[in-house]
Amino acid sequence: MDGHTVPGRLPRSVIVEGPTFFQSAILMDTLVRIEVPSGTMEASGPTVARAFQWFQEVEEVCSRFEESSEVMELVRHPGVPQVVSPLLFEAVRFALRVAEASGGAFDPTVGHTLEQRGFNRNYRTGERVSTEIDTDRSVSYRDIHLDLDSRAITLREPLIIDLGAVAKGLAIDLAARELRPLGNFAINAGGDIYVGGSNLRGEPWRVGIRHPRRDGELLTSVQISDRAVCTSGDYERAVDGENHLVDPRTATSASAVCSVTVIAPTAMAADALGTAAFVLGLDAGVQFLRRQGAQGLLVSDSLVQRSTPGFRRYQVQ
Amino acid sequence: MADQDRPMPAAAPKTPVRRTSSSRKISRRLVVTSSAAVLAIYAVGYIRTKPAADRIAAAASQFQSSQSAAPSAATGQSTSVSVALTVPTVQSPASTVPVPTSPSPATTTDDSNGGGSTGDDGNSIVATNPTVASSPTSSNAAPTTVVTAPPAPTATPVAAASKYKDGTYTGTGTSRHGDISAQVLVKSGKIVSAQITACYTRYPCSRISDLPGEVISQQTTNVDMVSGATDSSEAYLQAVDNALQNAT
Repeated sequence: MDGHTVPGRLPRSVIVEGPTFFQSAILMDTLVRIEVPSGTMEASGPTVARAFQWFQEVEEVCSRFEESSEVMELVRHPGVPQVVSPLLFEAVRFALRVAEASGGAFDPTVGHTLEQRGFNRNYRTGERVSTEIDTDRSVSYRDIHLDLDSRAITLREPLIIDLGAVAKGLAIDLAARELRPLGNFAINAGGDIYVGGSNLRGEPWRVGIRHPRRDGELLTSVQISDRAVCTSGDYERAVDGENHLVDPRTATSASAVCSVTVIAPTAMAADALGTAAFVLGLDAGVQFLRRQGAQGLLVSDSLVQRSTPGFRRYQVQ
Repeated sequence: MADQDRPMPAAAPKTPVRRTSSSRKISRRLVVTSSAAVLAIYAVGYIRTKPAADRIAAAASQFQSSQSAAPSAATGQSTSVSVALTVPTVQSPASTVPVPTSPSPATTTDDSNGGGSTGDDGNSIVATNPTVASSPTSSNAAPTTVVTAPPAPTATPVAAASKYKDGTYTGTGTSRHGDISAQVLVKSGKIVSAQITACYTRYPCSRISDLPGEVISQQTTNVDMVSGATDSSEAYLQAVDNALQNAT
């Protein structure tokens, strides 16, 4: 399995139980692995293939790194309403709602800042992406307008939409929906995880949360079923001491928190809410998650931990 | 792990996170909203994933017909190759530490296991499991823990054809670009087919579409890799090697 991974990149949370049938692929710049306990090629293979297909669908629509993606097509035409696919519309819509709810701590218009900071490499081609837009303008999620009736999106300013924190989760959720008939399954996309049903032993799945500072150690483990768990950390994809979680309000990397783990019914919510909580900081982040009905665990730079009350229910002692 | 029960301190300097009660209601629905969004997209897009399923179903049913010929045995080749697809109906206990990466995360702290394949301390890390342990006969290398070296690349030369038993065999090969599964058909001791049944690599498998023909004409996996697609080539040849392990 090590053959899959890019050196230096470790998963943030891991499933610590054994599967029977599994397939893996690199999609959306990460190793995606789907497991079906007691599955077989004939019984599970077609469904698993469909699940993988969702990752491709989402990537084709939402990737900031593919010039041909629908979202980049949208970005090229600021100022005019553009009718988009349901997939893109829902993804943007959800991103905007998280932005609103977090007071801008999460902001999908952070795309250009990411590009400028060097998070702009297409993982397939290795090419760097650079989009010509008016860089002097300060933009925010408020510059994206949705028309619910016509499913049109209008960018009021030139800006780049980054759906990174939404798209991978969305793909996981769509894949999970596809796999639901199988009952028991696990999807692991680079540490963003959704588990359905139970493991081979008929127990809830057990997911380990990687320690943010000690390589190879687990911070804790949770036992969950029909839930997503996503961990955001500052230990991946760092460029020159900065991480890819950028505070849209100050355009610098958020630093007070070093790890956020969120458990939610969907990976899309877990990932996006976790990204917002990361930026909000230790205490405000926990409060934010709680208000959203999600469970979470935050760890500060100095390894102080805060969790929502409900999080402990999932923890394995 | 202190719980947070105090009132929230001021969050964002400029745009306060604290919401009015009405917007709080909206945001509380966020987790629910996400589920609705997923369903909406799924309903519209379901049709789009069908072709992928059909391809696999076709491949699966194909070797269902020749199933009886194949011996069982899921054989994890000792390296990071995991044979996820073997004979239909026989469980294929892929030997695994499901951790896709570093050797270590599974082997830690309170999870008192000695590295993968023990995993018998009640309910924690499992690499093997009862079904695996008692699994079908001819599994040569018992399910191994998967954390060792990268895939041994260059295909081990597979010698003369006659050493294969007739039947249909499947195997999976791994590369850093994803997995490839292959189905090998042996008749009269010869490889008559070695087709790709599943391609989960990030590049299209059309790049290596010549390889199955090479394997058949050479009767070995010791064939030239496709230039520019060496990783996919390796994964495919590994898959064939794995399949053929069951044929010897």
